[in-house]
Amino acid sequence: MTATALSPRGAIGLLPRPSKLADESYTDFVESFRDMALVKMFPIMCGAGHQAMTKAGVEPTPEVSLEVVQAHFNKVPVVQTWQRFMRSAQEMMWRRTRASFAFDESGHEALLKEWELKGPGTLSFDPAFHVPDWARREIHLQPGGYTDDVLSGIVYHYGTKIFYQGWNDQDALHAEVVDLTAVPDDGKVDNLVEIGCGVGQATVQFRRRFPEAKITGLDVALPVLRYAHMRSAQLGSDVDYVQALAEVMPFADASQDVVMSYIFFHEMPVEVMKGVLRDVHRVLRPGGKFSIFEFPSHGATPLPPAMRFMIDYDSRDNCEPYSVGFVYSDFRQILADAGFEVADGGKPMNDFLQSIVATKAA
Amino acid sequence: MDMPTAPTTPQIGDEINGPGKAYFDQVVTDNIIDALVELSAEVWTTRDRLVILESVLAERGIDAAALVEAHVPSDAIKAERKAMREAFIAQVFASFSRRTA
Repeated sequence: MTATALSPRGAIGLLPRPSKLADESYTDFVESFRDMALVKMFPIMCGAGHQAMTKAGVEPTPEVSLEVVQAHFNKVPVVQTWQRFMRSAQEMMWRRTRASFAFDESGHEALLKEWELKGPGTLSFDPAFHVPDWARREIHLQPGGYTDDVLSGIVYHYGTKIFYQGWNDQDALHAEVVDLTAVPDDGKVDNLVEIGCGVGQATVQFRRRFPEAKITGLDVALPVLRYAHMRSAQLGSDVDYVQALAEVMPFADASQDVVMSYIFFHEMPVEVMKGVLRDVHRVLRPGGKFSIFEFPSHGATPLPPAMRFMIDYDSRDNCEPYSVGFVYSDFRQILADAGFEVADGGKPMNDFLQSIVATKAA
Repeated sequence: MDMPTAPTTPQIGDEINGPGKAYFDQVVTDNIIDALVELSAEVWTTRDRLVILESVLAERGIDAAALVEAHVPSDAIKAERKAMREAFIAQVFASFSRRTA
C-alpha cells in the first residue's frame, strides 16, 4: 500500500503508520494503558463494587435495580478511577490519532478523490444520499464518527488498532471471521455482501476466500467507504463498495448467496435493526446464509450488577447510544421473527463475541 | 418509530473536546488523574524517542550522552525549547481549565 499523503512514515504492513514517531509512541502508551484499565483493572472494579454493596447490606444480585447499583458503585474509589481511566484513554487515543493523520487534510481528501475512479473494484454513492440522524453520532467518541469527518476512515483504522490492543494490526481478526462465515449447503457463492463493512478489512479478505464471487461492502458512511475503496484498490483487491442503508439495500430479491456482519447491530436502534434483518432476508436466496459476529445479547437473562454497570458506562460514556437496546434484546428471537432459521456459528478467538448463522429456508 | 435525533451539524470532536465527564465528587480529582495519564504518555513518548535516538547514534559510533551533557544552547534554540515547554504544560494541565465547577 502506498504511503502517499497517508503518512510520511509509510505503513506497518496493512496498517498506516502515524505521521510522527512521537504519535506512535504516544498511542503505543495508550494501547498499553488501556490493557491495564480494561483487562487488569476491570475485575478489581467489579469485585470492589459488589463488596461495597454487600457491606451496605445489599446483596449484589441481578434483581437489584441499576440505579441502586450505581449509587453504591459510584462511591467506590477504584470504580471512579476505572471510569476516569477508560474515558481518559479513549479521549487521548482519538485526539492523538486524528491529529497525527491530519497533517495534510486537503492532501488526504485529494487522494481519496483520486482513487474514487480507480480500480480494481468500484465505489458507488449518490451525492444526494441522506445519512439518517441516528447514524451521525461520534461512536466510541471518534471525532466526527463514521459519517462526518473526511479522515474518518484512516482515523478509525488506526484507532481500532489501539482498541484491539495489537491483535488486529494485520487484519487477523477480520480474516478469521471471513474464514468462519457460513456458505450455503450447495457451496455456491456467486454474490456476497458485507453489511456495515467500515474500512473494508473483512471485505478484502472475502476476495481471498472467494476469488470468483462478486463481493460488495455496504455501509451508511461515505468517509469510511472512500478509505475502504482506496485501500482495497491499492491492495489490488477487486471488491465493490456502495453507500446505502442496510434496511433498503440496492440488491434484487434473492440475489445474494451470503451476507455477513461484524460488530454491526449494536450500533443502531433496535427498530432499525429489525428493518435490516427484513432486508437481509429479502436479498438472500433460498438456502442463503447470514453470518453474524456481534456483541452478546442477553435478552432477559439476569446479569450481575457489575456487568450491568459496565454496559451502562459503555453506552453513556463511550458513545454507544444503541448498545443497551441491543444487549438486552432477544436477538435470536428477533432473527427468528424475521424468518430465519437460527443456529450457532463458528466461534472466533475473541470469545466476547457471539457467532450466529441465520439461514433463509430453502 | 420513535427515533433518536442527532444534531444536524455535529462539530467534529464534540465528544472528546466538550465539557467531558467527571467521576469523582471533587472534579479536581478527575483533572489530576487526566493530567497524570497525559503526563505519563508524554514521559513514555520522550523515553521512547531517547532510546531510539541513542540507538541510531550508537550505530553510527556517536556517544550521544557525552555530547548532550556538553551542549550549550543558542538563544534561538532556547526560544524554541521555551515554546515547546509551554505547549507541553498546556497539554498536561488542560483538564484544570476544561472542568471548572
